[in-house]
Amino acid sequence: MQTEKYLYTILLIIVLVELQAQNYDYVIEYDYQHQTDSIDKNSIETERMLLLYSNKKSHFLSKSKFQLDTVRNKYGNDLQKLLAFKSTIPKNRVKFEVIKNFDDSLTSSYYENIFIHNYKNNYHKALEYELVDKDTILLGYNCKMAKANLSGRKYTLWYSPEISINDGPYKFSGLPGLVLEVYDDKRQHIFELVKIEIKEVIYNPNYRNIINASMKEIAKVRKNQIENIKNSGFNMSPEILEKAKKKLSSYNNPIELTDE
Amino acid sequence: MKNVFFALAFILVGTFAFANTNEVETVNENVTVENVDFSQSEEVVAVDGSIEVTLSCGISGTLSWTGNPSTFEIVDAVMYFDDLLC
Repeated sequence: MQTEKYLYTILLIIVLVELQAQNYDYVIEYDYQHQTDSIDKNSIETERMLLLYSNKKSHFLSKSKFQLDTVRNKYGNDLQKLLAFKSTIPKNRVKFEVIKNFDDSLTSSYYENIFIHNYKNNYHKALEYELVDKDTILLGYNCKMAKANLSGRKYTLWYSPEISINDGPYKFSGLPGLVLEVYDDKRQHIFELVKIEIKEVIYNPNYRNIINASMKEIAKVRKNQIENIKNSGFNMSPEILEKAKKKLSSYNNPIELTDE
Repeated sequence: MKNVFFALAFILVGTFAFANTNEVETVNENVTVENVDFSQSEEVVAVDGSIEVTLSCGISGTLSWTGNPSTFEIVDAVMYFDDLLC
């Protein structure tokens, strides 16, 4: 009887460990092209993004972030190795991530990494879409049009009912098929599908220094990054801080237009 | 009792049969990646100090700190400037 009890306990532990693993079945790549400066039309940056997808949840993040985490997972915090690796991959300038839970009882989360903190905003509300009677073919897939509003921007979406993944880049999810392309009416933020791979991936990041915040609060922190660095206990050479300040001033066109 | 043994045996066989052998997989054309799981990563705590940093694009400077940030935070701080300025 005692042995049976132990065996049941072992069985329960194994099941719990299996359930905890963050497995994804698809790796879907998008290019995210965005205008970083709201008044400079030439300030265009493009970053490759990943949508890791399973039927339970998805994780949308920069591919460079994923790759750096991979190396960091392997080599730890060896700064020289990490910087050497970083020089071989595109820069990770897109600092937001979106984790969507498809179980209604759970909440989806927006994360944004600013300096050493990870700001987290839980959101519940699914986007409302207007389905439009227009078709096109993208990457060989028949696509249908939808429209949506999100935080001050009006978006056009192209999704394909031929791909039974009801998800897409960023917070765009819930259409009857995979979103292949999204752009706002000013074409300042554009997501375009690049490729889909069926592949099992484990991505289990350990977010440190999580601060729960509203999107308004995150926007405020984003705008005052240099002040926050100075208040964080860290200090950087003045010339580097000055360069950072100048660079940050040209990043004034976030995807969500949230009033501070 | 038999059922429990059977379930455990089934899980064990399944685990080995379908185990992720942690082989390096290619996600894009240039860079190899492996699965990521930070749940076991260790964190070393630093004390007051500073380091000389040369970012991946050659910009050099000194990062200093007070208190005892973790090594992870110090690396995060360097990565922040590298992503922003390089």
